[in-house]
Amino acid sequence: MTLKDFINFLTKNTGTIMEYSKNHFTLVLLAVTISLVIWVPVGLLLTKNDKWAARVLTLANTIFCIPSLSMFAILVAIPYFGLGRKSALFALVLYAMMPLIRNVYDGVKNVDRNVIEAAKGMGMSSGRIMREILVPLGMPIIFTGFRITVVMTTGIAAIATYIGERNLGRFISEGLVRSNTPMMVTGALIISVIAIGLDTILGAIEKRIVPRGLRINR
Amino acid sequence: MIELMQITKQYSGQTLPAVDKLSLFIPQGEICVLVGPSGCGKSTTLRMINRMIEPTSGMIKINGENIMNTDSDQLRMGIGYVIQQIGLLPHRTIAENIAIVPRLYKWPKDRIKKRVEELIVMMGLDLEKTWGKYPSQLSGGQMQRVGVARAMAVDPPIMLMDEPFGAVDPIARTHLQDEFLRLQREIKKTIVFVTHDINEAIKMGDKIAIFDAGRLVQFGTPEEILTNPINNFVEKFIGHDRVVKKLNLFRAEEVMQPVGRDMRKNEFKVFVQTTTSLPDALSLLLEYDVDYLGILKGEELCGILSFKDIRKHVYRKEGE
Repeated sequence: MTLKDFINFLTKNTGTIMEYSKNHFTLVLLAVTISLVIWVPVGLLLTKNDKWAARVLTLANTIFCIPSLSMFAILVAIPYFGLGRKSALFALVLYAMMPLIRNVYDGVKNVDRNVIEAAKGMGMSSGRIMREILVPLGMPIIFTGFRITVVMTTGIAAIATYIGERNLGRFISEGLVRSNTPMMVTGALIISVIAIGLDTILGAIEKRIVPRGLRINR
Repeated sequence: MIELMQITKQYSGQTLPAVDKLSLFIPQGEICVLVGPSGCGKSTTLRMINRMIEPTSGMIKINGENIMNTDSDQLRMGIGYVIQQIGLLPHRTIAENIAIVPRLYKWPKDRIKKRVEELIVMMGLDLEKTWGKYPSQLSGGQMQRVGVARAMAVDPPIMLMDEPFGAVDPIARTHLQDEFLRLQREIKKTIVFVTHDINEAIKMGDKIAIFDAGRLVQFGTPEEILTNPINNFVEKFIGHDRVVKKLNLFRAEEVMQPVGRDMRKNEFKVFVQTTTSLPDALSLLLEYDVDYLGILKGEELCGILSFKDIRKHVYRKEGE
């Protein structure tokens, strides 16, 4: 493959590239949003009950260990899900369970016990302690979990092409089948750029989200 | 005033109760020190007063009102609470930390600001330099002052202090103790103070409650306890130097022989002020190998203190 082949592919298929990128993006956005809405509250709730936390975290770990191709295959076999976006979304949300719940749980649990003790002793309600102390102080770790989730979801979403998602993963799978190197490289490159780009942006946000008092050196 | 009536705390899975049928009366405006070896139940007792721990049985009353009748958050808002590790919120400035309880009471902003400034100054901290800083920028002693200021923010009549000066170095600790005692003479709070250090207990307490294995062993003024330890445990706990410790309770002016105008300053080699503690005076007697010290009030000679005076005082107090 020469650079010319590659550029040719890009110019001739701009429409498809745009469509696939858009599909890829919306799938990632949807999956991450749903994951946040579900798993962050679950993670926060689990900090109140160690027994359930252990159980749910084990479950999340187990799910996380299932290879993504197997997961998609299993979901397709279930009548309600079948081929398509429903299965893809469901799988991505399941994968996000581990990094999100674990980091929310760890972030909150890592907050200095003495700070919580003092706050409680001053008469702060548990809701207020959660909002004003546990979440802000746990934020660095929670946000790391969010960052991992976004990057991971971008990658796994590509594999959803095997169950009918028309996204950037399709360039790779079809490129492989047809021995079309420019097509393959285009898919691989754009996915990588999206993942790295998102991670960089989130990294920049992460620096701002750490409470000021924690950033100041002695 | 705080009344503890037959308080027991039994943790499940433990054979002995952490606190066993404890009754204690803490009058208004006094510092009551709970002291004892670690695991004796003193902190548990303190934490039951603001319901951080709920007793298994028994009743605690504050100003005659059973504390179980008040919502636990409301109760805690009205009681100052200082812990050894301080627990300042690291993501909030010093001013915001002190303002926590006033904010819970929904004070107007300008009232909070005024009170915060007042407290920072009262604690001997530099207002301009301190209020906008974060806890990690302060020294241990400064943080502890902020902890005390935060507990006093809404001027609660009762304060619970769990080894409040335990984490700072000895010099800063002495300083904090002295300042706190001076402050207490003005604010006259009812204070329950936990420590494992008998010297701190003797210094800080109007009353001392000595704990062992969940039980109250002896309760009384420092002088009573040092003079008449009730059993071997107390005697061992306060140490074999209890007579010397007792000297700490007195100042030179309480023991000296007053002198008239006929005595001159030049008849003395060594002088101390009336407020000097007896151990310091004794130390000077030994250091300069003199028989007596001149006692000064400001610049004026007002008394004479000899080794015999100290000995007589100790014997009288020992009741012999």
